[in-house]
Amino acid sequence: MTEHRDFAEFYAASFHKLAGALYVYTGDLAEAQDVVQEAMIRALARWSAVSTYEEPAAWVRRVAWNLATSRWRRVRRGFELAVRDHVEQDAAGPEPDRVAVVAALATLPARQRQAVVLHYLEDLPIAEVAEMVGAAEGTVKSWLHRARTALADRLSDLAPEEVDRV
Amino acid sequence: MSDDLRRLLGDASAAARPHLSPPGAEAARRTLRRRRLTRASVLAVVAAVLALAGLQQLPHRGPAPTPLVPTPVPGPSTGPSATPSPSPSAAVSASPSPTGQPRPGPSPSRSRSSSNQVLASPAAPPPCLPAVRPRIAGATAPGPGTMTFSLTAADVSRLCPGRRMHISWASYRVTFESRLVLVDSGELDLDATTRTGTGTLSDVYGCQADRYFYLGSHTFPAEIAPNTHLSLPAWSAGRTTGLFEKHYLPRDGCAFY
Repeated sequence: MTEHRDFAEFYAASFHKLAGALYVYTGDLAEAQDVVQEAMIRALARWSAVSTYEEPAAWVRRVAWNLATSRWRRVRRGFELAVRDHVEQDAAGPEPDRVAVVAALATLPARQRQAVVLHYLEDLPIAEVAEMVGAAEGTVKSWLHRARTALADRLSDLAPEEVDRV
Repeated sequence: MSDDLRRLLGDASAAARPHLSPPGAEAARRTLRRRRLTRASVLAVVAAVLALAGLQQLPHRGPAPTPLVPTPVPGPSTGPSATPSPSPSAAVSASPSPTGQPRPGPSPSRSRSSSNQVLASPAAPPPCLPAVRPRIAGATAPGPGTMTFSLTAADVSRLCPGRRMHISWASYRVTFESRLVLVDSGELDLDATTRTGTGTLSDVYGCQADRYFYLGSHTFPAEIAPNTHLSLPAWSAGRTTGLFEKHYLPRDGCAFY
């Protein structure tokens, strides 16, 4: 699509889906909202170009994930919170039984967790996940396999399987 | 099964959505405006600092710092002992820092409550300069001739309103004893309305020697001792136009040498 899209409309349509996925990755609602909002701001800064992309949401998703996985950003955020003597309040969130998978995911290495969310929740093909995280497809498949095995140990209603069959 | 994992992840994501409170597209716009304003302010301050540093690179007269910028009020010529006008650093206009400096570091989603404080004013204008270096043409032409001093439109646009560039110049010839003797001198003002001025060079008996230029009023000596030069900007031979630079007109080709 090449027509100019209205940013507010795009924002309303994309924010919740992306923030929901990043919440599953980070386990932190506020953090998920922060990175998505930041990605939206960066999209707005170059909206005349981003709006002409075939999938502006894909651009924003990539930026948001880069932010979410940025070690420097995590360090800076921790520093800001410390400077402000901020005490993280447990924001109201979903019921624990509905997000047991989030707790289980939190035990996985970050890159395995990212691959799981991108592939199984965002429905990205393995090739696209590999390109996005900068790893080989085989590596991503290995991560997914190991992640499923680990999650199966923690979640009773999940059985491991070969990701190649997905 | 992968379907189970997809379902669990989808449920977790869906369960989180009602608890999300997006700051909104308008908050994103305000944050972006604030960042652009901050960036423009920083660039303006950097430009002002660079301009100031550039002005301080302009040549000075003698060991003591000489005024680069003439006083804005025109008046009769004064000698070198006249009270110097304010230094460039003091004369530079106040930096155009905006009043709305953003708070440092709030994350986007947490800045909603204060984002109404963001100013929607346009980017700050670039700072003006207290002095610019005039350009000179015809400085190497033998007398009789005319030198032309000028400010470009770009120079004028950067010059602070009301500022005037006062130029003093002098032309010497060399005697067979190697003394430099004053032949011609003059003063003129350039500003936004009078961007061009001229200096008349008379016919020189003997060899042309140094020509000097000074931003401000200056009384040039009638003679300069052999093999010495004034510590003032002089003209470089081989160039037909340019800015004030610190070079001397060589005496090559003079009949006395």
